[in-house]
Amino acid sequence: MRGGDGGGRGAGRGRGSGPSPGALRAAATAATALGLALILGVAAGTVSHGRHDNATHVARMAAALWELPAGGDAAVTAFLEGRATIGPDEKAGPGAHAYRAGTLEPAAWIAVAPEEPGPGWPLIPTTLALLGLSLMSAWAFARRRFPPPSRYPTLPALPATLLLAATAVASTSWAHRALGDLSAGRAVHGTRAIEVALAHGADPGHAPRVAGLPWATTEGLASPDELWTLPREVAEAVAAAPPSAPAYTVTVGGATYHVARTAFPTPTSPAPPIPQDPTATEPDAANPANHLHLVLLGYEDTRSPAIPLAAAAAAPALATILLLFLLPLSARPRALRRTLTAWGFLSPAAALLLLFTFGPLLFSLWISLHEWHLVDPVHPFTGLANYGALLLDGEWWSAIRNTAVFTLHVPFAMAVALGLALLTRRSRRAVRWARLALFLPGITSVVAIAVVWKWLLDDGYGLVNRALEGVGLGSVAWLTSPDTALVTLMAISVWMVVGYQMVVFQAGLAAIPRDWYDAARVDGAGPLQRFRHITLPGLRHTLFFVLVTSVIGSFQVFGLVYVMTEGGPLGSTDVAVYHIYREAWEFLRVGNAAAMSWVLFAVVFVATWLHFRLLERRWAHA
Amino acid sequence: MPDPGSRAAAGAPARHPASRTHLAAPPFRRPATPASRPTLLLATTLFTTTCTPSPPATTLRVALWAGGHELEIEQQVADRYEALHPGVRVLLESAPNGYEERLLTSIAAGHPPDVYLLDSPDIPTFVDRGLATDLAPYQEALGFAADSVFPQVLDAFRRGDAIFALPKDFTPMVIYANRAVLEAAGVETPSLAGWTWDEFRAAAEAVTRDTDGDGRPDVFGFDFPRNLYQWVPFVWSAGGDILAPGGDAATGYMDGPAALEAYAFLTGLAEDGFTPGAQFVQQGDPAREARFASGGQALLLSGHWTLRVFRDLVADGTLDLAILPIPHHPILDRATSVIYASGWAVPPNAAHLRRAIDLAGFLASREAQRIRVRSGLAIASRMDVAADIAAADETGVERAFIALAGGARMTWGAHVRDFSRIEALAVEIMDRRLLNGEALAGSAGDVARRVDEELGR
Repeated sequence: MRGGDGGGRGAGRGRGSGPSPGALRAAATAATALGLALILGVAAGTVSHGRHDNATHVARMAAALWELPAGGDAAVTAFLEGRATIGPDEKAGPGAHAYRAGTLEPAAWIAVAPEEPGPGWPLIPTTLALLGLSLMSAWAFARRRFPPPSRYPTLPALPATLLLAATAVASTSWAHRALGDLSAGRAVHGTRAIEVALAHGADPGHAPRVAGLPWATTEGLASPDELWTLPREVAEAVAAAPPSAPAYTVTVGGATYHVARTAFPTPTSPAPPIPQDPTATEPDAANPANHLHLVLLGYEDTRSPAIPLAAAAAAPALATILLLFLLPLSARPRALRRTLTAWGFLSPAAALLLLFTFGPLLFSLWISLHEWHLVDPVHPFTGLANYGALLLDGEWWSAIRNTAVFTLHVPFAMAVALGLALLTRRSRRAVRWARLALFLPGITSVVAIAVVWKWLLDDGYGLVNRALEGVGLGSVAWLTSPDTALVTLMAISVWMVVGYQMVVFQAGLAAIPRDWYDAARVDGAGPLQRFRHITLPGLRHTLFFVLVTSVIGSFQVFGLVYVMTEGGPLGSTDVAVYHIYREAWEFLRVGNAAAMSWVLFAVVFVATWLHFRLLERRWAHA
Repeated sequence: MPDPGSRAAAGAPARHPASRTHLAAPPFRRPATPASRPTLLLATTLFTTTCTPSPPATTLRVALWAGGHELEIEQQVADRYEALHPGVRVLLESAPNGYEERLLTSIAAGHPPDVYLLDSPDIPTFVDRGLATDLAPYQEALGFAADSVFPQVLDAFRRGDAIFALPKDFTPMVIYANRAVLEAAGVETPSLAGWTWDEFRAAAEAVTRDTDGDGRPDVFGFDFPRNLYQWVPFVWSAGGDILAPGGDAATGYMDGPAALEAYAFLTGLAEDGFTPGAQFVQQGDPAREARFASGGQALLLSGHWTLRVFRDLVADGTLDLAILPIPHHPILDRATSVIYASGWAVPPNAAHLRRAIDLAGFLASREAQRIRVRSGLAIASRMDVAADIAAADETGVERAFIALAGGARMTWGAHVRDFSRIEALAVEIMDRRLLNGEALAGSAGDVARRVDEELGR
């Protein structure tokens, strides 16, 4: 190991004042162990939370039964037997308030003991984790005794990462099974609550509500969403399910829906009318038209611990890699201290970057692989389908084309800005005022600029058209014609950016030694020759910087379009970022919008790379 | 994007930048002088050691899009609720711009408001996804009588027996008429009984004229209704529709004969110069109300929210205003306008569910609506409150609004999920005619096909 266990002069001098390789290995093992504990804890906690949540839902069903006119304690007891505690005050544990009809003040508190916990702890993942950790510890011990030479100090992180990943996968699988059981139990509880409600004289039209579950459907109804709205695909899947099973699951769009069935007097069945006598509520169970299906989206989808578990596995894996990365430095305590100090200073910024830049970036990538509606409880994984759909989306490519055309204003703006910089490089009072006037648009709110220009360019009452008419020219449909709208926005954008670019160019001009111009003059060079052979080469870094940043900025244009044209007329100013905004916030297709964002990123990346590839060598290193 | 017309039914004018509420400057605080510091320290010590903490208040968060004066009125409603319920604090979280974004984000983040204002085009988005509590079981507790509100308004929030929001207010789309402009052109102001497209066009033509001799009209008959929320009543008033009765298809409806006639009628007004140039943006022409009030336009299509802009002008006699129905196709005898409404909804996972339901009930109550009508933005959803306001209105404008609401239909957006995409596509039909000269049948057929694709997603 380079500079490692063998040590050297530096290592010998510093020995004892820094962490030893053994300590670092132990820390890496401890990080792995902590990560494993975290994974198991997250899985167990998720299931525990689900169990508590399930008990709360059951308590709400019990409260709804209590609130029935003929309900009360008897209905709750019939529903839950000994699991419910009814009292006037809120007690510890999951529960729900019950109310008397016509009041909003709670009358009773129904606490429900969670069902027998079953596998409360992920035993198989725990066994896997312990076994893997033992092997790792033994291996680490063996390495300390017989250190093998290695050029890859972080290689031992591989088994640790694999162990963490395997434990996370096993824990996710265990949690999904446990949460699925809870969901199935909740559906069955729902049907039981309905049966008790019917037995206590509830109106069949309202009885399903005591279950408090999202959806209920009966096969006897003409439309499957007569009772409550049920997604069409789910209703079709429920209808296609085998009629014999009292409780079953259907999978739609990658999500698991739990269904429980019970006999039920439906409005369209030949069953008797609303019974006055509770004992008369005996629907014909053999008649499929009398089957009520309670449908709910499973906990395994709504409370899936997959992402937290992935994070719980990734964080210690990274910590392990980092510790092993530091291993070679352990023989050089001063270098190690310097590295740790540097990381100490960098860590706040790095944490912010991870949390607020790389985290959202990765999350948006994750979203782009799903059919993701902001408030849908389930987001089916669709792989690259969103990207595939983009290939055929003419509106999107039209937006990309518009964006590319819009970007053509950049070289023109740069030429204007450079000209202005040359004209205003002297420091006279008038020139200073001119510079200030030119710079003002660059520091003014885009929205304010857009609103003012919109009024100025209005077809009917705009000052610009009035002025044109005043000098005998016709008015122009600046923003209301597909032929001119984008060009108008480009012109306004030039006006907005030239001030800033001019200032940057002036800074670049100031850095060119005056001697060069004097020497050129002595040699007989004219203004054009001086510009071509001194100014332009002297500004090469500045030109490259302005070009790259302006192109990136123009690919992200949004404010002007949002305020002035809304992408119109007929999509002629629909640029990429505005298109993404509408897709996400107007049409609520966040998955599509995320995919568009990544495609736009790729386009900008390629454009920037091309700049570096084609221009940097010619300009920056000329 | 939610239908701006309906959003405006209770707040669009307040979303205008000029009418935004500005935060008051913080009160001036005199810095503590050295001599006063011991006193301050003593007072602070005494305060912290002798005062017993008051019981924590329950805070109910209400999401809405009110701004400016409307928000002040809503604050009065909230203050009244707090006075009636000691220990409860009502926090109004208003977002005049980006309301839906903020609301959806708060729900997606698991931190929804306790009560939120539900716009009619957003009803399927929220109700179909289980984001609104069924309030029907609490009607008795809330003192809410279904027969006390306009039935067509309540129906928008109903699914079967369930009620997913308690109606706040609503507005039909009507035609505002500037009587002085019409009379100057020799046009007799039509009555509430109705008028045909031919009469409407004749009035627009008679009014449109060049007053300063510069070769361009200065007074217009109408302004082009580009957005679907504006022109859909013209299709209905021709006996057609934009979607099939189940809301699951557009082909045969959006490009049907009646719809094509409506498009031809409206684009004809623009092509013949009876309207100022179209803006081709959803936010519309920002000068249209000023033009109407100043006599530059005779007829204006809008909802009740615009009435507030004109109220003072009507009161001082500057503007002679008449409220008229949407014109109808000559073969029919009456028009069908569109209604936009809003209601108070409670998310199922509200932090204080029962209290939130109670607050929603109060916000929709007679008392709250009587306070709210002071804003003058929309018609109260309770018939008795609306009738009281109409009776007290000497101009007759409120009575006209209520009369015109009678034959109106709720927007399709109240029943069709993610309707905003259909609205975005539908504007192309007439845009393509006016900008590219395309045949209406072609553009309507193409848009109808794309709407079908959206409905089938």
